[in-house]
Amino acid sequence: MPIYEVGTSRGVLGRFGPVLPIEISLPQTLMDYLTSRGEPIPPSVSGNALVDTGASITVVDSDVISRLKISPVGVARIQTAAGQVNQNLYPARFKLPHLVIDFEAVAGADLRPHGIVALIGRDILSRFVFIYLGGSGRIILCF
Amino acid sequence: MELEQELQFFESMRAKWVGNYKDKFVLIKGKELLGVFDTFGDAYRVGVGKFGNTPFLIKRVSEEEQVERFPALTLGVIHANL
Repeated sequence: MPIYEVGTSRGVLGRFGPVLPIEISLPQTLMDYLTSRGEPIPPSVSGNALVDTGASITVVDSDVISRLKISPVGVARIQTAAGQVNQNLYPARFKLPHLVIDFEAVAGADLRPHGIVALIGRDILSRFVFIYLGGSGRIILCF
Repeated sequence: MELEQELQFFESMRAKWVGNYKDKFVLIKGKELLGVFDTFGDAYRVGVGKFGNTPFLIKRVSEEEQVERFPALTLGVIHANL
């Protein structure tokens, strides 16, 4: 079942890549915990996410993680240009068009200056069919 | 980086735990193993219940650490600071 389908043009899709709207918030477990204690829940953050089939896991902008005040619950070994480093992982809730996913662990990186709040990696894509129609400038995400 | 102490503890116990808990999720705070779970979600619920929104480590027990890669970021196709 298609959950997102957008058509632009070959040029626009080639320039900006497969981008879809996303809303990032606290995972439900953490929202329930804060609600039960009467503590404030940081508002969700909306923006664009770029589908990146080269990324093994999903990345969220570091500023978004800070604004949501999510504590780390994991560590991953990340390959960088300078070698391998350990980096914290954070749980998060992704609201995609017509679908909500509580996600175990995303990495953080400075993405905001480039107009996106997340890179959708293969960990999320493993749940979908993703169709990139470069010739007609369309992308389709199916669940 | 946060969770350095927890990671060191995990690495010190990895070989032993692979024999007992392979592919399970361990919940660690400081140098203490607080539980072994079938799913990340189960471990996270217990961790949040005990510690709230503070750092704690959940790791899947495996023989080797998987290396995560983001070529677009590391090669500068998308310029970002990792």
